[in-house]
Amino acid sequence: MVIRIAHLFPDLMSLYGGWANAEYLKRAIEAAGTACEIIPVQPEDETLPAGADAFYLGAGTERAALYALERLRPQREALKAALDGGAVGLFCGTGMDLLGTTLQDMDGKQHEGLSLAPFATEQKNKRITEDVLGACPLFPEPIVGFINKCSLHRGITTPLVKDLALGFGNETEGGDEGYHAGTIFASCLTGPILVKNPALLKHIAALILRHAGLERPAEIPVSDRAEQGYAVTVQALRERCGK
Amino acid sequence: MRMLLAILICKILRFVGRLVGKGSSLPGAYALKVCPDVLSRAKLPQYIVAVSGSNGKTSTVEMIAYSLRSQGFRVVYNEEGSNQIEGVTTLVLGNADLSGRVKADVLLIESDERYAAKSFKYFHPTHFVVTNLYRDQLTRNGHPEWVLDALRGAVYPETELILNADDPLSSTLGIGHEKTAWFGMDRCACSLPAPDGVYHDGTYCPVCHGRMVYSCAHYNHIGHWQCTSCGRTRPEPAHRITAADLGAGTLTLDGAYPVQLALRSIYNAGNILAAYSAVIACGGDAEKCAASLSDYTLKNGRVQRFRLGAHEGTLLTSKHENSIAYDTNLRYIAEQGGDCSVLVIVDAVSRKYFTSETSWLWDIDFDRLNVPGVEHVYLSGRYCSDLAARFECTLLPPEKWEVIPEIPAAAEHLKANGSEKLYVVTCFSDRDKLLNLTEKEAQ
Ligand SMILES: [Zn+2]
Repeated sequence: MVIRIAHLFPDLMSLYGGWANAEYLKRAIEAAGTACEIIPVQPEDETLPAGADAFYLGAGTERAALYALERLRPQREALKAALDGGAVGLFCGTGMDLLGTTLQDMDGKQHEGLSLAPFATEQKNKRITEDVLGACPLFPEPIVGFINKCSLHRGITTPLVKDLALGFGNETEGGDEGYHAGTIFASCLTGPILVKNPALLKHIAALILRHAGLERPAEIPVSDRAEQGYAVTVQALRERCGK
Repeated sequence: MRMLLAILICKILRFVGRLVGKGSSLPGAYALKVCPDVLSRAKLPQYIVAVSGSNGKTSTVEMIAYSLRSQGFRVVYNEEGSNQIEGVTTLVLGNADLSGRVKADVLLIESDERYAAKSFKYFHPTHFVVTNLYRDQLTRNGHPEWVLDALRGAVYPETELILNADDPLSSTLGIGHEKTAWFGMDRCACSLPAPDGVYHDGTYCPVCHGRMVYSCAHYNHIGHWQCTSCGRTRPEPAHRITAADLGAGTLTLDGAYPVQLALRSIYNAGNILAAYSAVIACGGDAEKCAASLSDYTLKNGRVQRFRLGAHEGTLLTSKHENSIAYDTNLRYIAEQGGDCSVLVIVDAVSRKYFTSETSWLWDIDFDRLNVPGVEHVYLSGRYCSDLAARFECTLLPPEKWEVIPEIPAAAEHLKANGSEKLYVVTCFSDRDKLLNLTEKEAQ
């Protein structure tokens, strides 16, 4: 048994070291005792890998994201069927911008989104860059990270991160951030969100194992280094916001 | 009248500021309050040269100034490095007579990409040098395309652009811009067959997103590129590095003029070429320019030699949040040969603002250290665990690297052990935390 993670557009959508998310999922699954491979999917590819257990799409520039949307649109039904079947989708940075019903670009032009989630995206001319600290309804550990975006995501009722003590959320400073429903996860937290948040890594890795028909192991081992790095960042961010 | 008042205020505050050692933006800020359009009223020199880009701005500006001055030009530039509109105002008025005439042949401005549009609202540069655009300080800059869009707002039709033909991204500023001069580097001994590094920003055309191909690369996405879809291709440069031997520390400019490199990096070679192109555009002499840049030692102290126990040390300042600065220094270390150890320190991500953002570590190609000469790598500083998590995903075997969280402990350990060469890779924000524990060599 080999678990397969489809990494969508790894060169086009490669900002902020997001490749580490796919790499860390692979490592966590392997550490849990199952072989895993990452399959790169390029914009030129006509089809998605059949039977993938997870799909990862990272951040690109706003123009790259619009191009990615055009290239992914023909695969929309296949992607939806896979996600409906319990495959895991993780969409980070501008990757999240593709997921909703509509995407309004910086020139004000409306594009039809992938409609895999019920929200609307607006790319603005102002950039938001901030550290983030918030709570995740899925586990007790706080979520840490950094936001680097120009998009607003409107109409999300099931965020991934709630009650931001630090940082800008989907629509407002200190609001909720990201999107989560079933096996679909999206966030504008940049880069290696799964390295920085071991609890989220474990949660998502467990869902991938479940999709592959495997029992969740008692423990999904995560690198001690990542755990220590997480602790340092939590402490730094708590000091920062006085909590 | 308002201009005169603004000039007086600026000069007085600048004088007082220098006495008390305060920064250079305050006098300009007050002058702008008195006379908001003072920059459009001042009588500026014949040449106004702006320099922007992700890397090499300061070095390029210093070299242009040095070379032009050595040829008898009167040059004013923001040596204090404040390059927002307030700093530019201080610079211009501080060097103006009471009629507003700037007493110089060349006004040279290091321009932060993000503020260029605002700075050049009231006057337009005659020449605009863009050294390159790539991932740098993304916590502030977003991404290179975002920076490019900000720069577009500072480009006026009458300005001559001096652009890097080897950079597919910043070269898009020249599309449809008639007055554009190109500089570029030939395929040289140090060229790579294709772009290297962890990420590949040269994979897709910044104009049409078609696939690009490279016949050679200098570093990252800088090289000889062509889009296979829209056919856009590297422009033919007017000024070129025609030969480069970084090992021997020599360059040849335009097939005729040799330059000795004080700092033997591909980066520095690119900055020299940009400076050379700008000097010629201002009416400088090519041969004299090359001669003046030979062995020109940059003042900014990016390289510091020291002793630590039996180790001869070299600190290479790398700028956190700039993966290419790191990559360039790692490439340099790997190319030096001989046995060495490397200490990487990430303690404060920035000295200017708070952040815990370390995603840029994943953009750095630490595999470059996986060469026989590099005996051991030490990781230190507050974010050493983030570094270690990154190192776990490299090809370096685990026995080849270790973590010593406290910087003084790392220094103690090295002091007591070994005599191999030591390279320290870190940022301005963290360098003194180690250097203060060593015997520094005079610069
Ligand atoms: Zn093209």
